[in-house]
Amino acid sequence: MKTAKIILAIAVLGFLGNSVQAQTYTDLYYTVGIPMGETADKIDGDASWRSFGFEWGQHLEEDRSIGFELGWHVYSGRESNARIPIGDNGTGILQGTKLTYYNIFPMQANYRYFLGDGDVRPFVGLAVGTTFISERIDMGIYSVTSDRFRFSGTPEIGGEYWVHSRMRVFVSARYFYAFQNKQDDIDGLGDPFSSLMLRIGIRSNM
Amino acid sequence: MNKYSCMQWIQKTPLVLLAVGLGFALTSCYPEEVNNYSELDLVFTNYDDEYDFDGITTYFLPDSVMPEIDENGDPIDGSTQNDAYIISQIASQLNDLGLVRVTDTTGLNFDVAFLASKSSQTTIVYWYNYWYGYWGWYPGYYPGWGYPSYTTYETGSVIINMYDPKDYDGDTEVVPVRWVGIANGLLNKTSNQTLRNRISIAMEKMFNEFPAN
Repeated sequence: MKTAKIILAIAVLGFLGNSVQAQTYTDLYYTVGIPMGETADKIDGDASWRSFGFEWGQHLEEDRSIGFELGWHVYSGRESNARIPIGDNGTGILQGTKLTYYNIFPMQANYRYFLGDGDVRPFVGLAVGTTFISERIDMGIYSVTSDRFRFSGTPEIGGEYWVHSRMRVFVSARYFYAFQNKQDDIDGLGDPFSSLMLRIGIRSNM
Repeated sequence: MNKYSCMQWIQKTPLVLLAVGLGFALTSCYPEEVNNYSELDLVFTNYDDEYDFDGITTYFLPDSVMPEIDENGDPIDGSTQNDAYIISQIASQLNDLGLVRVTDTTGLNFDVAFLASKSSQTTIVYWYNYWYGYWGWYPGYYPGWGYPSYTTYETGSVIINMYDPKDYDGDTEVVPVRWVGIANGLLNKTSNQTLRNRISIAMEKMFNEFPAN
């Protein structure tokens, strides 16, 4: 089912462009991640400064592109005096220093629409696909982990600037959301993951 | 790929390698660090929510910590250096809760008994413990209470169980545990004063969760 969703997403993105001009590009980017919602609660709102990624794609028209992106984003947080209820009736309490880690590996297809035709062009985009999320919670010498693929989506808004005939720099703000996967049935793991991702990168046309 | 695009790739190779190197330099799977042993200390508590903790006013606490036992059930000769300190910390916490310690156990003139035991190899996962019929095998303890059962792990733990003598079942010779507190951590490579500080903090956290608070 998940594979079918991914294939469908890629197909939809592909059909969004009806005329192919085979100008391909490669992106390298660095990301600062700001956890949102439930994710922020789990890691005490600590920003992620350890993220980067690549993207390969092609322009369908002057104002549209499709691509495929791979990234690695590391989020972590420390709660020094964690107090965690354990058990069905909530009478068990575990206290200690809790370390939470997320290693996020998005594998998403994306579509972008560019506005204008000057050196500076704003754009909007959407990426969908699958994301492998490795979660780990350490308390004491004990550790629980959940390594699962999730369905993920990422709306995006940003802008690019031509610095060379074949190179652009771009910045964007993206809202990354990965749906829950609770197959491991471990409290605190497998919940939805969300983050605002601020990206800066370079794009080189081939 | 035509000749031109091949050249493009060759030209970009250093940039790609630089980016990959920068990425790996910036990225570590588990960047948080444990700065000292106390950050590995854990306290676990649990209780029977059907038990009336508000009715507790007096308690019995033996003067010593029950030693670790081997696979044959025999006590292991281990360090008792901090046993008195552990007992004093337990008593201090219980007194702060307003409970009165009873030393004369004649006639079971106390509401509950707290028994402290220790283990250098225990896990905090399993807590609901019974003692099956070790009547009087260990001097100084009231018969019918005993060791919690747990699977082993290479850490040090202090386990405190609370029993109500009125719960004793003469047929099964079992007294259920109504409350348990476990302090778990690494014991080696730390000074005794540091260890005592960690014990003190753990006891405070433990009894802050006592339901009669």
